Amino acid sequence: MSATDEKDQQLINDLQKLPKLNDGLSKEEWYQKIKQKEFSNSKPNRKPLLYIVPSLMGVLVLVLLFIITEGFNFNSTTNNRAEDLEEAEMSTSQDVSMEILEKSTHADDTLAFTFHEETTLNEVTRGEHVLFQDEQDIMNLPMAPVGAMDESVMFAVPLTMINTPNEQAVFYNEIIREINFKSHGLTSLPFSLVTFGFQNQQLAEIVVDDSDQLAGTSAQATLFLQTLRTMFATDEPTSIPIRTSETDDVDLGAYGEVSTFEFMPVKQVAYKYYRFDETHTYMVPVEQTLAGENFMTIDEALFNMQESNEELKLFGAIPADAEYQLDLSDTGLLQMTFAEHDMFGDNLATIEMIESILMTAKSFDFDAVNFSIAGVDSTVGAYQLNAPLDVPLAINPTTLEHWLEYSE
Amino acid sequence: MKTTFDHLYETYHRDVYQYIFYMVKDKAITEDLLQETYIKVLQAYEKFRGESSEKTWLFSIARHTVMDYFRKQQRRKQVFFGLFSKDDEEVTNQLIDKAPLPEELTALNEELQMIYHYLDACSLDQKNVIILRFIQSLSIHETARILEWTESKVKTTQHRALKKLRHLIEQNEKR
Repeated sequence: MSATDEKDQQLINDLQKLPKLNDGLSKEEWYQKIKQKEFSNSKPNRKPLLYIVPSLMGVLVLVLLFIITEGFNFNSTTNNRAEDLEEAEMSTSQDVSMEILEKSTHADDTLAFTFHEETTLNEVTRGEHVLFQDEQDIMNLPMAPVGAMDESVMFAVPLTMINTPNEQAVFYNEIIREINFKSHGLTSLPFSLVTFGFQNQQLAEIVVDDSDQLAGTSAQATLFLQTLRTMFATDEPTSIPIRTSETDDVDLGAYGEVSTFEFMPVKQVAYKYYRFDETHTYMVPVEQTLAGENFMTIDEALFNMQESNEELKLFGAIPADAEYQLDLSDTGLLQMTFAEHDMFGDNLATIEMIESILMTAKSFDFDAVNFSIAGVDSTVGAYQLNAPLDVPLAINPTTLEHWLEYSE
Repeated sequence: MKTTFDHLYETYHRDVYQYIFYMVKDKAITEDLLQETYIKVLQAYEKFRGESSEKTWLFSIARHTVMDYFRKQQRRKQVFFGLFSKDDEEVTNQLIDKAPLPEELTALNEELQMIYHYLDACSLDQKNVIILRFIQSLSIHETARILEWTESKVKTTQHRALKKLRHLIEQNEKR
């Protein structure tokens, strides 16, 4: 027997000497405890869903309103959208350049565009925290998802870097290492310790140079897992091999030793705002309530979006006292009808609420949201509420140039 | 339900209690998690089809309950943990539990107490294997069934866990 084996055997002997503990409750007390808990668990505690049940009269009124509204707005909605696109396309042909509006009223990290002829794309861009398919069609620039976390490593912060190199390996293994996430109020994975292997533009493997530095604490392990998941998760669970340069698996501390990394889709989440400071605000997905419960339905997620946690700088965009009704009867379309509220209007707060709801709806597989907000006419920022709004393509869009510039 | 509970209690209570306690190292939390385990087991008992032994099935449910607890705790603990410390000692100190020793453990010699503390420096997988294999004296096969792993993974994890504990003990002896 080698010296190591002897030491192992000694250690095993010692482990076997660890004592059996007494729990201090009798069998009867345990039984009563379980019975009580089981009884309390069996009480339903979920609030019933508030759906609109349209009456015949209600349907008639809606039909009439629709006809009247359409009659007065020949060129609204679809036409406006078409005009917007046309206008933007014209602008792109005039050597559109992207320029960061450094003194943006809201956040210097969010994307804004200016044109040489003083036309801002904001006229067609709906918001600063989301990017829509038609905007991407116009820009036609490569983009890549990037993951970071908030300063407390409590929640993932997904970003969409625009104007990235077409070669993914170049971006994820070289350029991303130059970004200083901390200067943007975020915590990032030490990308220099990770090498991403791609095949046919798909992530094929992850090689970790020093797993001790990545996963020494549970926070580091979480950062590792969440960052990669934010960047590479798809709509389906995916497995990617992970190894170190020497071994076929990686010790991820609290998560154990893993040889494949499971990317679970980021689905059924509530989107809120992480406000690091006045100029750094990001929309972030929240997967669970503080009690650790996942959201099973969109009404649970929307309810959570009315809660804020100032300590974590995490803010819900729906006012806590706002009242609304949901109609989920149309597949793929979420209908939200808000009662009047002081905060609602053609203002930034309402834009942020709309955008976070659109992202939340997307995570529950809705294609569009139809908003009706009492006291607000159809215009909120660049959004026209008299038709359903499509869910966005990407979240927290930002240009790579800007982040590199502000990383020094 | 009472008959089933009586049977489970008489046959497995002490072992499952030990398992949960050594995983979480807090008697109050152990009671909560064991209570939750009992409820899950009693609710599912009629559906138990005997594909595994009753013992490994029960331990498997206890393990899932404990892991759920750790996942929930994870979110809270993250706030307090520092990031990217390269200092082993600091990492170890963060991981080692600071809870007072239960009465049964205070009588142990210093070396056993140290081993008890160093269990927390292991990953949760390693800790599971150490507890099931050496504190619960379960076989490789039973441990694999409970953890839903292959037997070879149990052996590898066991090897690494022992190596880690040995390393920590040796480091401590050098001080």
